[in-house]
Amino acid sequence: MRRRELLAQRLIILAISFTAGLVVIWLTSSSPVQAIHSFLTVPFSNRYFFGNLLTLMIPFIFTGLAASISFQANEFNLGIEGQCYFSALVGTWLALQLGEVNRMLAIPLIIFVSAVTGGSFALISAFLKSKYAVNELISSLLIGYSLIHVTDFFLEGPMLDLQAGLIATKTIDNGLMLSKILPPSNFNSGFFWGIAFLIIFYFILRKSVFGLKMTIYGQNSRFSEYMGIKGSKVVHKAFFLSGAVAGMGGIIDILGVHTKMIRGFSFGYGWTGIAVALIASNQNTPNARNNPIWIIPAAFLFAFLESAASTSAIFSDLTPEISKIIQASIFFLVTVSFWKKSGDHQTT
Amino acid sequence: MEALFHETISSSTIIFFAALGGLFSSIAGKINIGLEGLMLISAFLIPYFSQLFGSVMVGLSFGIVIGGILGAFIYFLHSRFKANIFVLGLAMNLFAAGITTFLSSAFLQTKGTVYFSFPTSIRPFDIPVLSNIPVFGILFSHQNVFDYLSFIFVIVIYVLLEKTFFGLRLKTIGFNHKTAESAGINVKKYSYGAYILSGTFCALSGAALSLPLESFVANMTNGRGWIALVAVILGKNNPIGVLGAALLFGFSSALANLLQINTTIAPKLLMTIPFLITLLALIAYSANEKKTGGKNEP
Amino acid sequence: MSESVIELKEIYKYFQVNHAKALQGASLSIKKGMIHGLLGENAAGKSTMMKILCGVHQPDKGNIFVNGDRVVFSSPEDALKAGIGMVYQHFRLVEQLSVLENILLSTFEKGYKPVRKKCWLQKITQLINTYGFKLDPVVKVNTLSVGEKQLVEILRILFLNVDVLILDEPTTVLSEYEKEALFDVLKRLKVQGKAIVFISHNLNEVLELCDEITVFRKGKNSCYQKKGSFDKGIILREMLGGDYSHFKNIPFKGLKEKILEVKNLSYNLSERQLLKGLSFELYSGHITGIAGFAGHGQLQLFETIFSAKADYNGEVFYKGQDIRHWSVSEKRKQRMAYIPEDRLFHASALSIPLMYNLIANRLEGKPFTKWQMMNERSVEQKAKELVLDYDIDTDSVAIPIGMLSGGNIQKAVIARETHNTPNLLFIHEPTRGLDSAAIMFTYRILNDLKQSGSSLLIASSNVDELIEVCDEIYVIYEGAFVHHARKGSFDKRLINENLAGFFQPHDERYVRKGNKYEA
Repeated sequence: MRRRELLAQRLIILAISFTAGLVVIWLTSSSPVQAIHSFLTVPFSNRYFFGNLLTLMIPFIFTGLAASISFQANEFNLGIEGQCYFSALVGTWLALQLGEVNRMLAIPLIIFVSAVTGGSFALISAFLKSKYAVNELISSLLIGYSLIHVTDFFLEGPMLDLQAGLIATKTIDNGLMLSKILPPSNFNSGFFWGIAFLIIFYFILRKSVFGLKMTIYGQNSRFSEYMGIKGSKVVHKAFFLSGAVAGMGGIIDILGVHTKMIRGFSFGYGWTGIAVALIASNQNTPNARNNPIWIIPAAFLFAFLESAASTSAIFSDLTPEISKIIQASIFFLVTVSFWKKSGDHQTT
Repeated sequence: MEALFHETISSSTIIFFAALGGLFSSIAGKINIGLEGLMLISAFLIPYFSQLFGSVMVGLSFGIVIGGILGAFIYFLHSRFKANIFVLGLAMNLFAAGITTFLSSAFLQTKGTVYFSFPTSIRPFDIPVLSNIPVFGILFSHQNVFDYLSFIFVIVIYVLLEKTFFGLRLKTIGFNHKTAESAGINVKKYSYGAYILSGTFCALSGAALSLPLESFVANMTNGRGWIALVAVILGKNNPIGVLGAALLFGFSSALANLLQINTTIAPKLLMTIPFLITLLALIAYSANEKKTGGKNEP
Repeated sequence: MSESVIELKEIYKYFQVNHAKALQGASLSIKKGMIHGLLGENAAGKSTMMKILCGVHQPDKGNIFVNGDRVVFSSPEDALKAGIGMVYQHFRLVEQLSVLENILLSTFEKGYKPVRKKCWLQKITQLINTYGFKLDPVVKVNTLSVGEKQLVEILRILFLNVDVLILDEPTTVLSEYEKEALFDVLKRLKVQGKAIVFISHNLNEVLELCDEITVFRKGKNSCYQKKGSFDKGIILREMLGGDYSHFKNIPFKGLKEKILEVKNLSYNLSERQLLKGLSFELYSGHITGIAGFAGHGQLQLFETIFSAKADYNGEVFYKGQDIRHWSVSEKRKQRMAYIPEDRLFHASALSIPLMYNLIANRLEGKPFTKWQMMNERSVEQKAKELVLDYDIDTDSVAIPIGMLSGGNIQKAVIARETHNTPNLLFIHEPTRGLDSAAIMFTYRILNDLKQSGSSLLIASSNVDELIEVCDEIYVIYEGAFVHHARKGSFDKRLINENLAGFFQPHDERYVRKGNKYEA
């Protein structure tokens, strides 16, 4: 699809999805106009709300990037949710041990360890695929689900903070938290970490040999084999990177916002990340030759949806789930091709 | 032991119905990965409608129809607008999670566990006469209506797929799309049919999950739809094979439950058992396929 | 009785996907009881025209008339119901099902009805006998020979009572004997009043079989002739519109070096023997041909030597070294190259820029990579060079290669694989799907390579081409070499016979009686 058509398609699906959301609001709210108004404007109304919108963008940038990386290699890493969650736990544990160590050393270390954790678990799926031809979509998902349960086990058990009112770990030392940028909101420097990794990935994708190999493999694996590209190596690296970025997304959210690992904090991050990656794609197929920069507006969109839903729950009688419905609608439509491509072609 | 057996059967039934849903789409060549979502929606809607109309039969009928419509909707987006079928399946899963919570809080004002009540309870019962047969009698005793239905469906579906034109054409579409077209088979019609059936069987699966419990919890399906998907793969597009795989996975579920009751191992860790067993089965299957060359070379 | 049964009038068809003006106002008139030959080069529009008639495509402009009534076919089903059926070039059969089941696919029974095999068996056996085919309906299609599979295809549409049979390039995969059998069948069908359209680019066959001939060229009608006044010269000229290209086979004058030695190469895949003990040697400046129909092992041969598969039996030596455990990139470093049969889907990544496609085989190391980063400028430079040298028609090297026309994509593939003079080049069906200008271009490249000392291994089913181009020819049949000849003693008929499997004097299926074979 041409650029123009792609942009038009994106706008159309947004229009349809928002309309669908508005219809639902109209039907279920007792004062729809007020509900719609608060839905659309509250997130922008002051620093606090807007800052929190931006804050929500941060994990979406990471999980969106994670999904995007795997899509580029024509793979589905559906374990992002689990990788993110478990790696956040590991990172939190490390943070609790490090206590008062110099933040310049500690924070990067924590983030690094989380990344490696996430990457390693994703790598398992890649390895299973290359050695045993196991479908990576399913294996990453199954491992992901398992990781979530295991993490919950630790949160409810060994790592539980008995004095807290909810299921969470002890609080991390204040010195290890990421600096806030826009008080009183939670917007923090994690945002810049996200942008930084986006830029890094852009260079990897467009300028490095690995990026080219991954793109070629993702487009046409047989052709890549004939060119001497080792598909299994590409998949291993792509999955590791994907899981690593996912792992970072979770811990950065903890260090930036939550100050402790709370059960279920990252619920839905993985799936939203996939939605972000799909809508940021350069074509209406996931494995198109992408430009990661589009992840930023896509993350913003979904962050807006989430914030709008949760703030409007305060100011009107809407429930937060409305955002999920709009999200799902976008998801349904994002790979749609409105322009009837002539399915036939001339074959000699 | 008997408890384990019965638990296995009831867990398997849920997975089996969903897997049947997946089976049709798989044979037709375009596997539906939205099984989890379709199950979840039905698990909410069916008891809800049963309560609303005061009748399980009505609720079930509504649920099955809606399931079919949702299945058709997925295929519609794929067929008419060329949407990616995998992504559509994922979308359905996401949609289900959102809509069930939304509906539950909008109409029932709760977001936690929702309790339903309707006149007929789905309880296990014995089939008279048959349940007294030595040895095999156990198959006919202490199961609920869905479990017995699954026995019937195995046979019906087997006949449908292996012995009728429907099955022949569906397989053809999956084997060789172009051939089917040029043979005058209405690929669209059959593919829609496969997806509608997919939706209806997932609805049955959802019903089997929530009706006996007379309640709904968010994320109730907990990955069963994905396990059902693996069952389809392992079953190699054959209903008997799928049944076998579903039994295996049902057993792992039952085992996890049993261990939870009888041992002190942490419940959360035990909940990983079904997933890990599913993964191991998938690995074993894939490794075997790879060794024996699997399908022919391109 | 020769009233027009079908008339296609002024059909226009444009394919968006690959910018192809397939048909530009072509017309055709088909009559009962006649065999109508449709001739033309590749991409002349013959197939497209017939696919429109069969409901596979819809015309942009123009009309179809059946018995005087205007009709619209929006699906193959519609056309079948109107009595028009096509036997496609690439068989539309389900290999895993039996002959009977394949035929049953086309019936219009309701879905829930059980397949009463016995009852249908009777009907189909009757049909088989009526037309004098030799088929056993119960066997699975994947056990049949190619000619038999084609008969199943024909049987399938006859079962639906078609009045018009269209055959799309039916003889490209048949042996001489099977061709004669097919022609017999078609003549019998003609006598029964069926109308037959015979699409081909083989002039001799069409002249032998058909009652009238229409020639298409570049999507338009070019000429029409009736039996009795066939003029071969005119037809050839109309088809090609120019001189036929010939390959000038000049011997290589350099040092003769043994590049590849293959000893007893065998390869099995889940109990099927795909390659059976092949042995041969390739030398520099030498063009070796492997003649064979598709599916007899050429692909496996190339893949086994070129790809990173180590699980074959036998030995392969490249310049004296055993290459069993070499990776593809190592092989490429040693200047091996491969042009596969499917240039679009196996030899390029369509949505990736042309310039990257052009150097995709040399990604690592200089000059295109420095410290793991791509040196975009040098890639662009090289790409521009190649575009010039190989006459690739494009405005920019940064556009996705898929936006180029098919012919230019082929040129790009050839450019990539040949520009640095490989030591060893595997090429599969070098001129399939090319027009005469592109064929000339390809031959020139092959000649240049030969003169520079490259060793070429060409697999093709076009025996004439191989005889012109090669220094020696092997014939492959079901994975084994059944014939070998050097230039100077090429026997075209012998090669053709071996291609079809008549290499065993005591083959129990066929007995040679004088000049003919009888079953």
